[in-house]
Amino acid sequence: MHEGPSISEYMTAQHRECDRLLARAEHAVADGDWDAARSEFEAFDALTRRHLRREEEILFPAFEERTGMTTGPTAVMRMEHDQMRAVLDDMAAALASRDTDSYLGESETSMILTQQHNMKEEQILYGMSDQVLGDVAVELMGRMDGV
Amino acid sequence: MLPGGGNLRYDRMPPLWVPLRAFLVAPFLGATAGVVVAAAGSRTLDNRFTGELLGGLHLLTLGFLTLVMVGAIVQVLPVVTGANVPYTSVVGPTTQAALILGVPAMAWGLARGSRPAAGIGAVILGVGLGVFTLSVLAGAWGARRNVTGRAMALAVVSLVVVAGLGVSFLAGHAGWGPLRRDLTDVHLGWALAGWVGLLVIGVSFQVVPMFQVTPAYPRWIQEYLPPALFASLVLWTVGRIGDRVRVADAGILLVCGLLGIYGGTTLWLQAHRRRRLRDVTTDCWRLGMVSLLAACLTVAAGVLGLVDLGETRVSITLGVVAIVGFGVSVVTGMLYKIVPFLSWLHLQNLLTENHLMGGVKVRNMRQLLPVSGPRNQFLAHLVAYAMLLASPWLARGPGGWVRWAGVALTVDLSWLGFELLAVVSRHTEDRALVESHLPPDTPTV
Repeated sequence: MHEGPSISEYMTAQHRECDRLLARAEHAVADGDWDAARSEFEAFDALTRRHLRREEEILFPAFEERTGMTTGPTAVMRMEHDQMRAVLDDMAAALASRDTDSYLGESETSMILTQQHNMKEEQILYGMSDQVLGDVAVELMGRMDGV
Repeated sequence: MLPGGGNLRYDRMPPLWVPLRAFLVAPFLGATAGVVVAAAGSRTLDNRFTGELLGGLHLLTLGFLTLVMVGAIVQVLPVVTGANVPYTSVVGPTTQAALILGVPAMAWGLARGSRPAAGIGAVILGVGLGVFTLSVLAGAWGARRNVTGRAMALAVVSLVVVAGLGVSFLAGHAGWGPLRRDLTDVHLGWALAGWVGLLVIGVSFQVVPMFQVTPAYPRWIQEYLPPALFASLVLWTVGRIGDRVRVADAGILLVCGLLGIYGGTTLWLQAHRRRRLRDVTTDCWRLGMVSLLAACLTVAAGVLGLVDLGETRVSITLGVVAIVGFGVSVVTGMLYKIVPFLSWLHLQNLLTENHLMGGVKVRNMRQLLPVSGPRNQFLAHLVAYAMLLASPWLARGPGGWVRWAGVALTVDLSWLGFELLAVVSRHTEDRALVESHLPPDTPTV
């Protein structure tokens, strides 16, 4: 019996880490520490984009193949991923121009957009994934680690 | 069978105007409570049952709190829980219309002693809330595996109790039957602890960790606190109606204890939030939770004989703490997140559907709602709250104090309304910008 984390636990842990990094970057910007802000944002940006790729390239296709649901939950999640990446681009632009108000506004937007997105994944999609992909969970997580 | 599998549709957010209408009208309905108090002055506080106090109170509890909460349920339940509120496009507007028309009629009937107005209010509110509760309960059945869905369902059952008693009271005021004033406390308890309390609790399981990046509420609180609170209310009611004092006291002490646990836990989570930036929603919720704890302690003290809850000044002060301090503060904080987010999301979806993302820049949430306005409005809310708290104790004191407290409440809620209208105005400008980039005849919602 698989003793390690489930798909839910594995993915949710990444959500929490991204939350933590967003908060750190935001704090650095609010404090006017732009050097720290840049390094914190780069860490947040990198982990977030990697997480999105893990879902789009590995988890969602496996889910869609197993369930046959290609236009359901995963389609909406992909659309929201595009919106999230657009906000990340805007955050990077605000950071580059050292515009505190603009960055904090984009960060607030990113936070709420991401949180409601994560809520849907954690409440529903991940649980469904545990159910339908339980037999290949270890293999999938191994592949996602490689992204 | 996958949980909610075949029924899930994530794209089931209602069109923007359905909930937004409620969120924009509600503050102004609440503000008229202040007008009623200001017009009537110290006469309002002669006792708990003056027409002006009852009318003003319900403009606040139904016109503001319930109108927002109804809108939020229709909006939130499908997205959060995956459940469907049947006939959303009909239920939402019908319930809103019932509240927007029925509450002023009710308030007029109570404040002016008008039987026809009270009767009209009774019918409109009875039908509107009946439609709402049936529809949501049907939808909540599909969300019964979700802790927020279950808490919402219990809140709506509480609303059935509250509305049932409320409509019967209104019917009594209209001369259609006996006016059972002895059941007022039962109506009040279910309204505050059941309808408002359980809904706030259920929603906060999602939004407190979401908005402020706090740890999640402990699992045992999410699973057991809402049903335990509901059972305690039932226990208290059975004791109250059956004239069994010890049973009633046990029930109400349990209610206070459970709400106190919730309030204290929320404050603890907020103190451990990862996002440390000052935020008006966090301030509103802190004020709300402190008020909730104060109300619970006061009621518990009353049960233990330390305070006379029957004394007019005490009972009115307790009402101010529970309704203005807890209810209005928490709902205000929520509106300052929901309205800009819904507006922003609508614009984003417009861009995405028309392949304009990256091509047209729309305002972010802070640009839709700059921070300075809400921060100042929160100060106005603090002033109104303080003046209302002092009112029962100063009603016979410096002339006009109660009137000025009423004015302060009007300013407080009107200001909130104008801040939200400004968000919509900015949204409309950005929407026009997006639509200017579309080919003519492109359909938009």
